Amino acid sequence: IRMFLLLLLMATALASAESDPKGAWILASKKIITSYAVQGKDYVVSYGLYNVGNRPATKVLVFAIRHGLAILLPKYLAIARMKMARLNPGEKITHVVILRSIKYGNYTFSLDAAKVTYSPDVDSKEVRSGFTSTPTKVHFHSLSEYERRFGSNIYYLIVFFLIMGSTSFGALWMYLRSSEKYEDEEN
Amino acid sequence: YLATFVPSRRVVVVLTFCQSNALLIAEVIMSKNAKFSKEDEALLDSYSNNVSAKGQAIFYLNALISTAAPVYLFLGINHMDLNETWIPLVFVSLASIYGIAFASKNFKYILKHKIVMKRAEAVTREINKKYADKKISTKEKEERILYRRNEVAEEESTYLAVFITNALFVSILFVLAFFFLANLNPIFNASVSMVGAAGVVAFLSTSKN
Repeated sequence: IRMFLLLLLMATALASAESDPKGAWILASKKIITSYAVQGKDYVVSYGLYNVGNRPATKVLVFAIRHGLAILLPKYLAIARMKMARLNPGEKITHVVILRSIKYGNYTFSLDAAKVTYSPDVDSKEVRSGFTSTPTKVHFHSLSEYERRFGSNIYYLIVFFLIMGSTSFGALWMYLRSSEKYEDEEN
Repeated sequence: YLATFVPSRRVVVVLTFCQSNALLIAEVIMSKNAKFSKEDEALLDSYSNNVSAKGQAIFYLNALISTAAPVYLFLGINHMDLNETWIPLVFVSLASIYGIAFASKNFKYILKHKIVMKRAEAVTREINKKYADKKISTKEKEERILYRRNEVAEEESTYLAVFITNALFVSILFVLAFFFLANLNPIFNASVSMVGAAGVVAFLSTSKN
């Protein structure tokens, strides 16, 4: 019985083993370039496609899918989709999309993978599809908080000191003018 | 100076003025129906805490500008929304304006005493030079000297008081807002800094020197 079970196990393993995929095989990734996400500012996302197969991939199409409440909008429309005629074996391509968040708060990327479709060979009619990897949750800081911490305040300070300086030093100058006149009188 | 009011007389005023080792006592006693002479009025006016209308206008205008500038600064730096924060800012501004004007008035009073003594000789010489060719009585000349001395001291003390008040207010405001209270909520920071600075300046102005 033991031998029979062992043979049965080996037969099952061999039967379920998939053969190496033939044709092109694309590995797709989605990487966030921007390290500090801020509402209303550019948020750079990079898609990477790498053909690890032994045949060129054709009619490669990458498009971002948004689920749920979308707070990220593409800054430049039509760049959220990418088409490529051919990706040779061993080649890698990156595609950068610039997004802009209209709100602040937490954003879950796990629902926002991009879908990749391609044909595994030049004349193949088969269409393979897959999804990119996704980062998990990102926090978008509010723009006012960002400006408060990192914004340049030099213009406000200049205006402040101009106003205060004009009144203070104007008064001092008036005093010194009168004082000089009477000190000359004394001398 | 001391002032005592006696019901049976119009006013009994005893002025004491101390300067280093000198002690000057001026005593003005008026009968029931007598009025002050111009000289007495000028003398009283030079030692009084009253501020002329022009002086009041200068102090309150300066207080308004000195309050508006920090409000602008806080609104800009902290990106505060005026629609949400205008109510506390109005109260804070009113308190700050009052504090700065109060401090300016006190500083002016302290400085006026010193300037009156400082300008005595120069003003006397100025009046003597001005009326050298004209025939006026000694009494009238002395009155003019007193008036002019008071006028000059009033003007110079007003300007100097404005400068000192502003300088103190801005220094204390910056220390409070950007060092001690830097990590607080912006509206709280702005309120406490401005009221605190105005309060400290008003307190410092109540010193006798």
